[in-house]
Amino acid sequence: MKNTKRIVSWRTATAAIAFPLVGVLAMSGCSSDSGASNSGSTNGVTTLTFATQTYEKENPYEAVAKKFEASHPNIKINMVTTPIDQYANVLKTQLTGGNAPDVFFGASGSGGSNALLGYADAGFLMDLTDLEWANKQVPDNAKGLFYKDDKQFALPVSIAPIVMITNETAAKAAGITLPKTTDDLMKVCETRAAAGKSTVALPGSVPGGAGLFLMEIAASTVYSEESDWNQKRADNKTTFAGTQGWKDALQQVVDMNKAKCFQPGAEGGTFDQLAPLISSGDALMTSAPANQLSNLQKAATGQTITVSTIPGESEDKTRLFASPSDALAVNAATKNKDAALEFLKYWTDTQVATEFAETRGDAPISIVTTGEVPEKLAPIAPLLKDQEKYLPLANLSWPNPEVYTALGSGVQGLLTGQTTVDQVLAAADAAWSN
Amino acid sequence: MSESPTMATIPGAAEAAGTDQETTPDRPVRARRPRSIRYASWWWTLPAVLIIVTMHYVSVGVGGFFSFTNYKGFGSFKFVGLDNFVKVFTDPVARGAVGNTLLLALGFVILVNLFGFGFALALNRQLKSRHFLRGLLFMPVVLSPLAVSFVWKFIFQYDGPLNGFLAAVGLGDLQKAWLGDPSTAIWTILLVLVWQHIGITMVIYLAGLANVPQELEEAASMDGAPLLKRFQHVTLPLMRGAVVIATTLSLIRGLSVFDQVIALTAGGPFNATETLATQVWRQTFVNSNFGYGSAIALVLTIVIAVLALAQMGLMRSREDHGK
Repeated sequence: MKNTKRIVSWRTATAAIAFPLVGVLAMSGCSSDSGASNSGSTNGVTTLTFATQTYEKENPYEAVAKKFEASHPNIKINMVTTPIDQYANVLKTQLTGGNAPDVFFGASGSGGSNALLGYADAGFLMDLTDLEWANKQVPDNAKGLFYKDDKQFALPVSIAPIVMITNETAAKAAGITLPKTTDDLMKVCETRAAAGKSTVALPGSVPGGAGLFLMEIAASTVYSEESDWNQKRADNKTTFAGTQGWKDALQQVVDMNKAKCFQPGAEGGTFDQLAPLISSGDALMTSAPANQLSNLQKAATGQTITVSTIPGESEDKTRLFASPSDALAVNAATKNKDAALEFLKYWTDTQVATEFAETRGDAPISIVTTGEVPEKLAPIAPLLKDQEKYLPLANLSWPNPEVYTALGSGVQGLLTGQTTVDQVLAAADAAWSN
Repeated sequence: MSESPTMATIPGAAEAAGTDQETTPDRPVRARRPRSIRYASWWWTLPAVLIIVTMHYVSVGVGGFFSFTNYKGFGSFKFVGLDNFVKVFTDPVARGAVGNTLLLALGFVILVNLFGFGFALALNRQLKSRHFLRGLLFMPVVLSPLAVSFVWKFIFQYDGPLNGFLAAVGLGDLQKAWLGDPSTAIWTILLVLVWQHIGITMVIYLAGLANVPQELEEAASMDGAPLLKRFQHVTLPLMRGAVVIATTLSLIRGLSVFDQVIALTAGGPFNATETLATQVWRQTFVNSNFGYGSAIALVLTIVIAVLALAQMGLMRSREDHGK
């Protein structure tokens, strides 16, 4: 076979390489960097990059940023948002690459995939310890979520109670008083099951959702007796498997399943089933952060949706998880330190904190000092006003997200009969060591 | 050494060219060749090769490096030797994932090729509506796997259309949470996977059938060969190439299944449908165990490569044997 090759002149070949190369160099010189590099000072105006997750509708963080800009004309905020499922990985990449935003949102503690204390460990966050306005914002019972080795690295922005979002109208129509003890709850389940209805809508196939329900139970069974359980576990003075409260919490899930408290097919339940179940009255309540109240209220037009808690063994032993889960931190490598701290300080203003919490549906962080609870959270006010009765969501300070996942998927395994209470607790202990 | 022909060495060329150039046979004049480059030289491919090596092989290499560490995605890390690989084969969830991966791959290869071949045979000739039916069967292939899976998830929900249909026809006792029951979840995933990919194997087999001369089949038929014998001794031997391609592609697809598992069950209930691919995602991006996730990815890559090569080797040796 003849090997034919086209032959061209050097001139043509040189042109073929040179023109695209020059074009690429020109374009790279003209291009603007995205995200973090859009910071700096020009004509006395400092531009800060502020990163949060993307919101479907209004971004509550952006609203605060705009108000800050209005009151601080020498500081401009460049918002950068990323979808929540990619946020943590994008931020990690930026922090590692040295082009992270000046100020960014994250989760408090060390137990989530976007946990800020994890970044503090790696030296990525600015130390806020010497700032009194930052210290005062942290509730006493939540210091472990914002401090590492006695240094503060993040600032809480609101408190998110974990509640049972309840269809009060459906409960009244069924002649049911919301339960105050575990026994009351089981009786309600019995009554509802006899009428072909369920009491709790459970997203059993979602480890995060099932885990949240378990945590609500554990708030009373574990943390009413041992509010310092997390510290004991971290010091290896206790284990999941060796704590009666954890066994009781998981056993309660098993008992509730047997009593038909959950909707049929709960082991395959998903988040999108919850709103229809609650709004139709087929289920009375579901576990969720309080900021989901407005979403469920919109889905249940003409009905009153309120908040309640999963009761403990007694009213006195009932506890609530109410976490300053969301926080802001400053990039340790920021070139705009003063402006970044000015922006962070703005979030400690009582009015700013209250308005922010209102748009989110959370309790304002200022509740720590003022004790004022928003009206829609009135049913849980007695718990929210007493720092002995509410505590931060426990899994936020666990060493890694696998522990929570082990418990959450364990709940599904208990519903399907694939596992036992002891096996779930053993898996949680094994995950703790990872 | 051969000389390229020039006017001086071609008899009569000079006269034909009308030149009166005098040359001597022992000093042929070579035409001056301009400085030139050739398109087919290896260094023209250098930019593309560099991009592929960087984006593909270097990134795989970096991932392979981290599989021997406890890297969390940021910050410092330590070398842990083969600990991550030992965990892949000792951790119950990872072992279950290996089993599920092989089960889904085997089931997918068998079913998608059986159905694909069957539809190809049925829609090869004669049927007037064959073009429309081919299009209909191929349509699921072009849809997004995630979108398809979410639709099927709705169908299989406890309060979904499937259970509704069963209740309507008096089979209410068969209602269940299809995706929440460990005994049915993985078969549900397999069903969705096969349903979406029958079209592509059908197309491959149709292309193979197009290469089977109709005259051979007619000759065999006239010689009295029954249908099954004609298929076995005439059609199938001429389809070996298509069979190799279809089975290899479906094996690779089955081993790397991810979208359908994540959308339908997210690996549940209670890890019952976890596969190696979902474990890579979960360990790397959810649990931030980049080192362990990379180790699982490396194991999956080796499994795919070994099985795919073994399968192709087996088909080739049969082909040679048949000759």
